[in-house]
Amino acid sequence: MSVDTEFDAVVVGSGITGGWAAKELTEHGLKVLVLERGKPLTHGGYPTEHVPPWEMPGRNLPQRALYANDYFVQRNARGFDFTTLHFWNNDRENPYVQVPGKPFNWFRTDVVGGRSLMWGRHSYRWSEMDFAANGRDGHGNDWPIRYRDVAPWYSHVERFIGVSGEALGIDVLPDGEFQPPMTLNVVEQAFKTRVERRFPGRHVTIGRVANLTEPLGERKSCHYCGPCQRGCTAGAYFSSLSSTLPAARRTGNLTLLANQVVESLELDGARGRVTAVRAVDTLTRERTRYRTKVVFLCASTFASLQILLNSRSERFPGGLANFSGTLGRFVMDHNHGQGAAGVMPGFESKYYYGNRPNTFYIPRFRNLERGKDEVEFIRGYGYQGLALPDDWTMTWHRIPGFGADYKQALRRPGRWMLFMLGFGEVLPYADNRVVLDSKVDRFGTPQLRFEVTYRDNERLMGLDMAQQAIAMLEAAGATDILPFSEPFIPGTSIHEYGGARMGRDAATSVVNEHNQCHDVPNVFVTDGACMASSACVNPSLTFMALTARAAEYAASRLRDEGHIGTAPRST
Amino acid sequence: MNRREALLQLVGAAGSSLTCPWIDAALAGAPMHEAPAQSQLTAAQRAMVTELAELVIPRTDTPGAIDAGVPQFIDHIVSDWYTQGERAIFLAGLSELEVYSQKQYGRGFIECSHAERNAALERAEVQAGSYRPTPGVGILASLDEHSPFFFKLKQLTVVGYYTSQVGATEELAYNPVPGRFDGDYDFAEIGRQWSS
Repeated sequence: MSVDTEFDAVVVGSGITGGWAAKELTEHGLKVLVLERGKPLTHGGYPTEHVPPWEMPGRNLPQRALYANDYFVQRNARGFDFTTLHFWNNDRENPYVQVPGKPFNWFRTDVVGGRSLMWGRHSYRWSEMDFAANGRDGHGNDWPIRYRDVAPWYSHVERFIGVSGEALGIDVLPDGEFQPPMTLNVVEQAFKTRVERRFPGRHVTIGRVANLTEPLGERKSCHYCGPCQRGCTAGAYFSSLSSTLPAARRTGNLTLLANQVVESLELDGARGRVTAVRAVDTLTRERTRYRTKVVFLCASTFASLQILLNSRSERFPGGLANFSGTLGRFVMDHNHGQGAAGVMPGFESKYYYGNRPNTFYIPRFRNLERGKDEVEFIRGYGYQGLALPDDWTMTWHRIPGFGADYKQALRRPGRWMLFMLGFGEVLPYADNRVVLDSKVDRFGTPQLRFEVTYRDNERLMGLDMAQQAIAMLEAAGATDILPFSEPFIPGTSIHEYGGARMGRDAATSVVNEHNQCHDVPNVFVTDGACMASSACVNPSLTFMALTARAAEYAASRLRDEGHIGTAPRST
Repeated sequence: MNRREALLQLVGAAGSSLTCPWIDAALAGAPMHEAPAQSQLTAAQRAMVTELAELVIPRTDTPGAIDAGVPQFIDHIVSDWYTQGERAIFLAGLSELEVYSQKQYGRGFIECSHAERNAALERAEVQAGSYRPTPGVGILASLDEHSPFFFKLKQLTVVGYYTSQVGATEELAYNPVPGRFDGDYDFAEIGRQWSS
């Protein structure tokens, strides 16, 4: 089936970047269609928000058979349990291929709003050093843009999503447009004081998060209930459902269709441009062509790559916009899982009020100046961490016995524990890649196969992440320190990058400095797939800023020329 | 939008591809927890579970395990959720308590005095010996299939009690919408853990 209307733009995906593309493009006056493969959901329709534990089935104990059959990957994701099950991908219905010895966690949602519903909300700007890193040390290709190109777009995004945080005035973590910061608790404050005294140049600050501490438009400030991932009717954290999609809808220019999984983009070979998006209805299996002037791929890193790789034609036998042969290559995640935990004595009379949806953050302190640190790896890492007293779920077995005394003992919280985990930059390697497998999914689309491993630089950095966490815990007076030295398997941080990397040279990269495919100028890739390196800070803010920036460019070209596209190069 | 509408929207839109027992149960208006579909315990075993749960978390100045419906929760988990292996360990533990009571006190566990039942359960704890659950793993994240009877009983009672309405709101402090954050709060001001 073909839809009669030609849209100005089709945006694939309704999550963090799809919502931004929809908002910006509709506000520029374009008629926009957003296609989302997941279930429909509107803001406020969050079935488990504020539901107490006694109303959850089996009190939220794991549903073993269901998880084993249908959620065997997703069950390992942060925030996955029965309170969020309805948002996650069904692994049995939507499979991908893992190669022996190269496991990869592809954590996906299956709902309008995507992972913006359950993201970690930490929002950090890249620094000048991050954009220059590839060019400086020769790993990966040099970014065609620098901090100054993105800085105004960071501001644009921060003002709209609302980021609470503390300005530090340090180059490695540029300040932004902040709402008042949340606060450290008393144990974290002591940790901060002791660490900063012992390690000059290291900073412990409250996380910069897209959780409001002041109302913003119709969105209310945080009420500190805790489990953001269930959804927030108050709109106190940023999601596309609470923020960008409603803004897009207010323009009258938005059409959003759920249950539409995009198979491929249709190329007009003669003009070298995409003219339609092919999608399948996940319920009826009906196929539809949506005609459009422009496509924004915002389906999430790997889903966007799958669409490009599966858009094969005579002109592009190895996937759309792949004259360079780099499509699917140089994919990255964050090196995550290493760190340490310890007991913080001396705060037994202290507790907390309210569930702060935030952690502390320690910005990168390694390799800020070339040759200054005596470490055996390049680039760096930051930490997120928090202090919390053990609750009954942790102390129930440490307290012996049973009966009235046991019950009385469990009334008190346990020891204050301080945890910290690193997020490290992963280098771009050509052979860390995704490709199409010969196996197909239920729609006949070739499954994505992951071939991603960490190397020596990640291993050595990970060891330092654990060692420095131990050193800071020791400096803070922690006892019973437990190191975490093993990285999680790739994908676990859900910080996905690369595969359609940005670069100046069409021979070695997929998109240009405007996120526009070198080879197919009316296709823009603005989710994590466009990234040429990973830095070590949480990625979503940068994805949003690049999306808004690309949308402005696309809209201005459409306005000025009525179409987007220069004569395509020939192979 | 109320919760039912939200659920309908999710389920209705996704049709049969989204089968989720909890949402199905919620839409059917069925109770979303507690009573087992078909109890795998005998009446005598249920009676023992009731007494044992109350031994672990008795009524004090706040309600106890029986008040909180913990015996029904344990029946539900043992009958509907446990693997065969877990159920075998649990049922063997009940049998052993019964056999011990007969041998030691000349009557069944249920007929024993409170002090005798207490002593029998203390013996079960000693028998569990040096077993310790995996450190750093919360009780709700996973239950160890191979843990000994005493830990199974204690664990199910604790989960059932502190996630029940009376356990969460009367024994512990429940505040689903705190409205503010104070990270330098004296424990004495509240005097009990948060359950929320």
